[in-house]
This record gives sequence, C-alpha cells and structure tokens, in this order.
Amino acid sequence: MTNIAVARPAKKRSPIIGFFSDQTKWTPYLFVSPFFITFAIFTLYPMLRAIVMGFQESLGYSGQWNWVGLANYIEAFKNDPRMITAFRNFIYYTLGSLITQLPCAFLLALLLTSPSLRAAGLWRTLFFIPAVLPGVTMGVIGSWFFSRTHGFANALVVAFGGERVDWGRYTYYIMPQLLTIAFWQWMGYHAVFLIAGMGGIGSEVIEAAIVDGATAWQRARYVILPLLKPIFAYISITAAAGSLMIFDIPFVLFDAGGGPREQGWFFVTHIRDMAFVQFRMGYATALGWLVFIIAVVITVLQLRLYNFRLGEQEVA
Amino acid sequence: MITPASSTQRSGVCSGIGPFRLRAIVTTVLAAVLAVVFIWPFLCILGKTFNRIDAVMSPLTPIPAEFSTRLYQLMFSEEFHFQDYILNSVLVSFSTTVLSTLASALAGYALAKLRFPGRDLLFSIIIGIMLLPTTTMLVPQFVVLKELGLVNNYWGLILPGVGGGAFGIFLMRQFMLNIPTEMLEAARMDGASEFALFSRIVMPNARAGIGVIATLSLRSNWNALLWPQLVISDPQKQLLMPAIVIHNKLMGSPFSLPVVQTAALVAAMVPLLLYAYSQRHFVSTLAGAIKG
Repeated sequence: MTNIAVARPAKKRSPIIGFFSDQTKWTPYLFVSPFFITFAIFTLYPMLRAIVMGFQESLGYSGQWNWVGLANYIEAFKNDPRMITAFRNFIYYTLGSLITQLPCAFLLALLLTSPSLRAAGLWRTLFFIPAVLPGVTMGVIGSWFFSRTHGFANALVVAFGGERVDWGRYTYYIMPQLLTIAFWQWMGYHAVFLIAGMGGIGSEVIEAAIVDGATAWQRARYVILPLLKPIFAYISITAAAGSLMIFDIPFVLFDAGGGPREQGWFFVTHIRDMAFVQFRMGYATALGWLVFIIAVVITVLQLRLYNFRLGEQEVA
Repeated sequence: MITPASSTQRSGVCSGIGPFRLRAIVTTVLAAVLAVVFIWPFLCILGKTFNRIDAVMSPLTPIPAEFSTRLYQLMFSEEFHFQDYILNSVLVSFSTTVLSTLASALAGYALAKLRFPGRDLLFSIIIGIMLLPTTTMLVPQFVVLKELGLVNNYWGLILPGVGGGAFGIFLMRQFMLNIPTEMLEAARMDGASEFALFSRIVMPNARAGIGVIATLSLRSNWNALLWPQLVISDPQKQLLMPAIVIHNKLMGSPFSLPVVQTAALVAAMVPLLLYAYSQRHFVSTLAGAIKG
C-alpha cells in the first residue's frame, strides 16, 4: 500500500520528465517548430491583425488608426473602378493564358515525346528556359520586344512591309502584349508538365490503342488527352493562382502604372498602390481580404470542378 | 520517370517501320526550328548587350554589329555600381535559402519518418497553408515587420523565410518517404541521437530533394521584386531586382536603358545556371509533386 502511494506522485511527474528525457519524443516537435514559429509571427499574426485593420483606416505612416466600420468594403464594391478593372483584367489574363497556352503546350508535348525525335532533352530544356527567368528580366525583355523604335516586334512588322505600331499606346494592344509574354514564359513549362504526365501513362495503354488500329491523332485525342486531365487540372489551378498575384511584368512594362486606360492594372498593383503610394493601409488591407476570398473561391471551385469531372470519367 | 516510359513507347512504335529515319529527321528538324524560333528573341537581346552602343544593329539578329563589352563595364562602373546590388542580393537570398532549406528538410523528415502525436494534423495544416493565398496579406505583413523594427533591414527579408515554406516542406516530405525506415531503426539501435540520425543518414540520402528545394527557394528569393522593394527603402541597400526597376524608371543617362537590359540578363544568370545544374531532378520532382 505505502509502496503504491509513494509510486503515484512519481508516476504523475514522469510524463513531463519522460517526455524530455526521451529524445525521440520531443525532437519531432523541435524539427517542425521553425516553420510554425515563423509562420505564426510573419503570417498568422499579421492575418489576425488584418481582420481588424480591414475595418480601420491609417493616417499615413503615423501608426494611428481610425475605426471606419464597413466603409472600406463598401468603397471597394461601390466606388473603386480600378478594383473592378483589376478583376476584369485578371479574368482576361487567366482565360487568355490558358486558351493560348494549353493547346500549344499539348501539341508541343506530343512532338517532344514523339518516339522518332532525337535529342528530346535538349529541345525540352530550350522550351523550359523562359520559365526560370525572373519576372523583372521578362519585363525588360518585353519592353524591348514591344518598343516602338528599337523593338523586335516592329522590326518584324517592318520586314514584312508594315508600318511601325505604337504597342504601348493603344488600349487593345496591352492585354495581347501581356499574353504574348506569358505565352513565351509558360507554354514550354506547361508542356514539360504534360510530358511528365505522359510518362505516367502506361505504355500498355498506348500499345493497346495501336493494336486496335488507332491513328496517331486518335491516340492523342482519345487516349492521351483524357488521361492527362489531372495534369491539366493542376496547371489550371496553379496558373489561376499565379495570375491572381501577377505583379512584376506589368510593373516593369508600364512603369509602375497600369498602361493606357489601366489595361495592365492587377490586384497586387492596386493593393501596393493603395498602401504604399496613397498610404491607405486600412483600405489596402480590406482589398487584400477581397483578393484572398476570390483566390480561395477560385481554387475551391476548380478543385470541385476537376474532381467532379474525374469522377464522371471513372463512371463512364 | 520520363525516360523509361518514352523508351518503351519508342520500341512499340518503331518496330519494323521502314521510313523511320525520315520521320526522325522531320520531327527533329521541326522541334529544332520551333525551339530556335522560341529562344531567338532572347538571343537577340543577349547579342544586343554585346553591341557597341553607337553601332546600328537590327533587333532581329543576335549577332552584334560591332562587338563590345562596354555595357558590362558600365554596369559595374561608378555610375551604376550594380555589383553592390548583386552582392546584397547574394547575401540575402543565399542566407535565406540555406536556412529555409534546412528547416524544410527537418520538418519534412519529421512528418515523413517520425511518429508523434499530432503529426497528421500538422501535415494537414501545412497542406492548408500551401493552398492559402497568403501573398494577399502583404500590407498587414509589412505593418508587423515595421513594428518589429525589421523594415529597411535585411533581417526583414531573411527572417520570414527561415522556417521554410509549406510547399518546400510538402515536397521534402514526399522525398523523405523514400528513405528506408529500417536504416533509421538500425542506427537508433546503435545508439545514434536523433540529430546524428538526421545529419548522417537523412541528409545524405535526400541530397537530390534538398537540391531541388534549395533551387526553388533560391530562385524565388533571387527573383523577388515586390517584397524587397517594400522592405528596403535605402537605395544603397537595395537588392538587384528592385534596383533594375529603379534604373529602368529613372533613365538617368542615355546609357540607362541598355545598361538596364544588360543587368536584367545578368540577373537571369543565377536562375538559369541553377536550372542547368538541377534540371534532371527538377522535372521529376515537380511531376511527382502533382501525383503526391
């Protein structure tokens, strides 16, 4: 009896001592802690603060904040044409990117996986190169490419007997310019993902199609394309998320502005302008929340959409 | 992952086809022409940076009218001193990369190979964080950074990244799953500490994964424009990417534009070399990440 009574308090203390005396118990937490600590300080805490900041307005950089209630959100919806422009540009840019890049990427992936192709790795590398270039470099190359007097595009136009075009001046050239640069940067990148996906398709599937007498085109259209759906889903989800945050290239191309009639104005451009040019930190925070919600909705919608379709495929 | 499948495909298709050589020539020439067309504008602007400034050169050709390295000399001259910005960028992005890769490796290892209460919950949280568009929080993040006294300070750029990113940890975990558990158990039986286990067994076995994470991390830190632009206000302390943008906007001298173009291409060298170095692992890792 007494023995047990003595042993009990010892057992009560033992979990904590035991935890720290056994290395295998506490090291896992130590190993994951750097991420969670920095995340808590530099992301989670600011996000919690942002909930309040969205209902406030700052007086410049003074550190003083006034409570304004829902005014920021009402203004964003009712009285901020540039936010609407940013949203419209985001839709155009995302859809334009996917429509122009994906079909070409698929055809390129077919070409680069062609069994008769030699030095496939070299060509793949060349098409992938633009994807690793910094946004600033892409912006500088883009402004040179579309420069009125010294640019590549106009030299080409002149070589074919046309007149020099002032690409930067007219509204209707702005989005095509951005889409051209995006095409150059990401088409090969998407193709490489599709190639990796094609590697995952079992060769027996392709061989079965060949035995059944499917032509190369039929194999591509009815065998390879449907099997690549998860890759297309991945590309479209990440491309939409990337377009939502596009900043560097239009910033360099339009000298921190939005180009003619704000055709190159995007969400991050707008948030940055509000917070650090007009010093309206509260309003910019509220805009950040709106973009945050748009991003979550778009990602969730796409996840749903592609899962649904995948399920449908399996049933059919 | 790519080569075995395409090689089996190859044997399936080419068996006994006579005009195979012709098809090989056609597809290879087509791919080569497309690739050269694709990379051509890049070569042209690269050639332009080696052209003498007053020599007329067609934008459609990559061959300089008169060869000169003057633009590169100007870039590192008193007037532009891009070497300072490059050093600043190297300092910030390399230190962030080393620390964040180490943190990602540690966390990825713990999530893949160690058993502890709450592990699956922590992993789900990391997946959730990966999907969250945290970039939208740049204003409150800046405000907090300012309150911590980290604005206009390299620590403000380094510290938020030292814990590694959610995506990096996720990739690292996928890599670490391949390390045989028996090997770890055997070392534990021999009395190796958890730290020794990580540095002696895990790190050497995950070298490819660590290379990929380090490449991705260095690339994103090196290429970053917005965040360093906001955090560093002192022009002397500025990093390379914002510095290029500042010179692009200022146009302080008639040489500004060509020097900016030269600097933009030099700035691209770091990610280009990194990619050349790690490209093999790169593609298979990213492809593996989609499936995982």
